[in-house]
Amino acid sequence: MIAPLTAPPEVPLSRFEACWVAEAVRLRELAEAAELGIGIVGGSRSSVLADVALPIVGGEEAWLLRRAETIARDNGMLEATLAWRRRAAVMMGLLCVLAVVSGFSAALGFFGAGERAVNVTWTLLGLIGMPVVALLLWIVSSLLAGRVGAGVPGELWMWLMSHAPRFGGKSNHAAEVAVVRALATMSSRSGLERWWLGFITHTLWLLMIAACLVAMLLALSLRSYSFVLETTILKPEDIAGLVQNIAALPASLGFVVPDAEMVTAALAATQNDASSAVVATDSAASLSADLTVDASASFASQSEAERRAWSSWLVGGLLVYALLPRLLVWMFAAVRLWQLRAGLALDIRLPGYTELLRHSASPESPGVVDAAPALPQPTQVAAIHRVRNHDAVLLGLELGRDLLWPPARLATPRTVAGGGYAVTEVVESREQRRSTLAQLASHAPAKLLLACDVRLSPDRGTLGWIVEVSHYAGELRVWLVSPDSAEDVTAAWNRELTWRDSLAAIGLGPERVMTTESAAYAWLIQHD
Amino acid sequence: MTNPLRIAVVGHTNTGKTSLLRTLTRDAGFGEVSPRPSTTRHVEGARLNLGRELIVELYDTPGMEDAIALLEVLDAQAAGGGRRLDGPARVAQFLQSPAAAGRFEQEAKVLRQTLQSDAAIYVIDARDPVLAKYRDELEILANCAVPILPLLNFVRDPRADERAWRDALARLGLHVQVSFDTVAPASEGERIFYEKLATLLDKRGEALLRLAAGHEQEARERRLAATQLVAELLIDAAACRARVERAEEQGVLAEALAEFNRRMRDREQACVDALLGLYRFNRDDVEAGSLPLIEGRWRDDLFAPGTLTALGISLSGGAAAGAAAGFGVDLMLGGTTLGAAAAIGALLGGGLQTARRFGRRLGGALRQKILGSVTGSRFLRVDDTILQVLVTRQLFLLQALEARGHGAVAQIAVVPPPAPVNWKGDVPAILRRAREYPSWSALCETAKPFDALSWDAERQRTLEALAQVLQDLLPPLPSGRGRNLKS
Repeated sequence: MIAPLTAPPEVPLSRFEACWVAEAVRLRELAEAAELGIGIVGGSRSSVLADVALPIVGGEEAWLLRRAETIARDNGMLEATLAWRRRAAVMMGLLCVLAVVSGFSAALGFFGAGERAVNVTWTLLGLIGMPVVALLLWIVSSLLAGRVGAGVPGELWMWLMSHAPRFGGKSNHAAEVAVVRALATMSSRSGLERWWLGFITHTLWLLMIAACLVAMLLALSLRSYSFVLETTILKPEDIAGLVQNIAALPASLGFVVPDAEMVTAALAATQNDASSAVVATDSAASLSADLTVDASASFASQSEAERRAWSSWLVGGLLVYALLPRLLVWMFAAVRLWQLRAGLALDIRLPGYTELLRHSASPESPGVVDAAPALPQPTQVAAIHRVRNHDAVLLGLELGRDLLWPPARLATPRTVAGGGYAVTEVVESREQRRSTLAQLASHAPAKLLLACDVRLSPDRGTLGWIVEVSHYAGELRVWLVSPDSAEDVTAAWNRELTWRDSLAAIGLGPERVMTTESAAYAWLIQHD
Repeated sequence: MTNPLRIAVVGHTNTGKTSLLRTLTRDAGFGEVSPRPSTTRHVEGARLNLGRELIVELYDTPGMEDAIALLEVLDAQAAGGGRRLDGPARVAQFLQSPAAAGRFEQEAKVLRQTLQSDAAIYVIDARDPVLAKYRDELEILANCAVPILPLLNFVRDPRADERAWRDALARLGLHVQVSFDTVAPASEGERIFYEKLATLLDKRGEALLRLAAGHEQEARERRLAATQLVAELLIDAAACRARVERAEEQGVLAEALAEFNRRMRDREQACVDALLGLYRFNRDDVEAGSLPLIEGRWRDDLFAPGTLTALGISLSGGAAAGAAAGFGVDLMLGGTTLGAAAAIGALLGGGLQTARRFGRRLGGALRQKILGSVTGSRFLRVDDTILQVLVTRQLFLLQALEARGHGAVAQIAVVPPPAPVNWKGDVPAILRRAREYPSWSALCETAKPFDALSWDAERQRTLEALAQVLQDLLPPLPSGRGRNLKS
């Protein structure tokens, strides 16, 4: 009865079970992912499902279901699901037995052992009253609230599921929570919930009523009863009317029902009973004996046709007012349940699924297709050498348009005793580079100051040209020009470090890199 | 399956090529990003899928660093051959020359990749001036004879000179341009980018439009998932109720309160982590961002009085004393002065379920009152103001993550500081409902596995309703209706 815990049998899951298991796995994975603070598939980082890599074949939904089943088989979720189902079936079985027993005993209780005449209206209303009221309540609450579907037996079943002790092996608490939660979320999402809870309710009621009917038929077949109509405060006509009204529907279905004469006779028997009971009170001691006599008297007075008619009236009433409506609702619930279960589809747009699908669709990225070259050894700037003049040149190299060039303080070339300096245009293009190189080649200055925009990234081309130009000057230094505004300076700060590193790599140490205009000016005009 | 579009991402060094790939692939782990030039020196591919269909292969390339010299070499080779070669032939000739394996190895990788691609995206740091070397780069790339889409990065920076770049690009014949901030992409930026790219690719661009629509769909799905995570947190927090035994004894209440607060903090942290995971960010990714997060944790403690004032949440009357200390000691009687009229109204309005709920509530309140007075136990639960902090902070985080590109490494302010969520709307109404079901909270009550199924279903419905309400609080996402190419 209880399947082994370790290896669930390889029976194919029904669609409902497959969806259920998938939902349980999804909820579990989302919870795990949230716990670990990662996505279900965390990009290049570790992910919950790193170990499950099934290729997507045969549709996304089928893939998700298959994947969930594979996972569930491994982590005990499938086992928990099947165990829960078994338990649900066992509890349902218990309740079914309870329903049959209570239906049986209710009917027998109302009919009694035959020692007293059966009060037909009291019996019928007693037997159909509860089921009919319950059914009406179910219908009304379903229509009003739109989703209350459990009904009393359904609630009872849920109560049993939560409170009855569990048998058979250790239970996996976390898996159970996920399984129940999954059933709840899945069925509330698909609208199944109200129908399967309703189905349980209607099944139990149906069993109870059927048991009631069977018990009634058994009693009527195997015992002899006489039937009376009784009332204390109603007028006899009212009772007669009630009987006729109740009889109308069964009669139209072909049930034999008592005619007016029979009703009058049954009522008359009651009156006899009542009068004899009044008489009997005179002598308390003889009460029971009198009653027995009265009962047998009325029993004897009823013809077989009358008894058959009354029996048929009772059976017809129970069938038409209790069993048939319940059967109809039960069938409706069964059909809806069957339809919804057949149409059950995994919502692949749910959180968790979307990520999974996206992830599995691209199992591998092209990766590095062209590896990085060996790091080139940067060529070094020319060593400082003597040049036979004291000239200095300030050269702007790729400067931002917002920088004033030449800078205000250095705008007018000065001639100082023994040396002066010249300011060139900003050098950018190939042609400018070429002509500048040509000029420097024809007359190499002792000092060459390159002004670079600190906000730009130093690149290999620029650094290469700095190296090239260093051969045409006695000494080359670099001035990292930064803009005046404060926010730009902070933005440039990172790049200044980059510049210093890059310049150091080509042999321009910190002593040959300056950042202020005054330092630049001082170096240009100073002569040794 | 048709071949995917192959697109090379090219540009000068340090303009944000790898950041662009990170943002487009939503993968903050792609490649390496740093403020230094020449960080990427290899060619690396990444894929963009729509469902299971591979749409685009993007290739990250090293930066071009020596375009002026390279163009000189190309010109010299073209002049020396004696034949007139077209662009691709010139590039092929260069790639076979020794220079391609030596000085220009890095540039050769770029050109080789571009030749094999259907289009190239030329990434520009819009803060840079339009220098001659950039023009040379574009001239070299033009030789590869693939459509080039110039992409202006960092356009949100005040230093960016978008106009100068647009003029310069137009003079080079590149009239289709796009602005796209890889650090803080505009909400519709991605779609506009794909649409522009699609115009260059004629028929094959159609796939890109589908991709853009798919990405918007994903964004909506992500937001749905995110609001569900936040709703889950709120329900856990609101429903949570901790019972304190012998509360009148010295220190018992304070200790229980500390434990209670710790659980709340951890729960909020779990939500932050889950949101980061959902939007595929690492804890470190957001560390330096505009968010008041340190190592992925909120800088301000959930229960610090300053947190409330910082969020502009005012303390309401009786709650003030408790909320400032960070809790509500709640006997649950204030909220349940349940008159007969209310019960009847509930019966009429909501059917049996509602009546049962009120019954539970009343029963619970009475039980607690009796229990409390007999045993001296108290019940702790989180105050409304704390819930307000939770919802405000999480929605703020959510929006910040939505607005944040995966290429972001540096500090940048994108989302204005949060305004407190209006505490008169639907959120508190739903949370009040959650308060009636302590078993809904995964925090305080040990979850009973078989606790009636209908409760779980009810919890699920409440959760979804709350998530919907939270969605409505957020600014709408791009509609996702496929826009016409011409617009």
